[in-house]
Amino acid sequence: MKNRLKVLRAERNWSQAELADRVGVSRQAINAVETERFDPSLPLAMKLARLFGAPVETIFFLEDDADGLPHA
Amino acid sequence: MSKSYPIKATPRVLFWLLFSSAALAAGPLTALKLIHSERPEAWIGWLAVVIAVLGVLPILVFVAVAILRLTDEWHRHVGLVGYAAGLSGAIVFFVAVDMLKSARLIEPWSLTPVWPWLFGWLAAGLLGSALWHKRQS
Repeated sequence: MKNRLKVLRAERNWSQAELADRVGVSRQAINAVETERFDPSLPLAMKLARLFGAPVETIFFLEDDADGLPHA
Repeated sequence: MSKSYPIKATPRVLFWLLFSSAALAAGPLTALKLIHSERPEAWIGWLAVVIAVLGVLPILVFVAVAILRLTDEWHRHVGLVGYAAGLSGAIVFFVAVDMLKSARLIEPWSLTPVWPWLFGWLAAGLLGSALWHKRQS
């Protein structure tokens, strides 16, 4: 699964540690999600979506939906 | 600030740690003593098997619960991978040792007691997983 977490974080000038604190996980967890080595749980994905004010599917998407938009 | 809170050292947790460690140390040794007793009857053999298995289970459950209670999902993932690796290593090791004993390549009492080996494999698995995941980041 791909994601736009790094871009969204950079837009807000947050460090990985800062983002981790905001959603209540470790910095390593954010790093692992950003580098796509680890798919977050649904609660964590929803917390991130709520924090960035965007639908989950625009932050996390399948490789087929590489443009970041969910296909019908 | 880390958001991963491992199992807290409450009296109850310390009790379970001590109990499971003692069971791991005493279970297999008691079982071996029963098997090598002067009157090795069949039921004593079965009792020895039950004691050995019951001695090993608490530490395995304790470590698994400690990992599952980590609040950070990444640390939980690293822990579970390490636990699986350590347990797999231990199983392969004990099968190999059992074969070596059956083939009489080593003495029947070799590599006993079991507990340092089991601890060692679990520790190696957890440490190996932590290092492997750290190297990838």
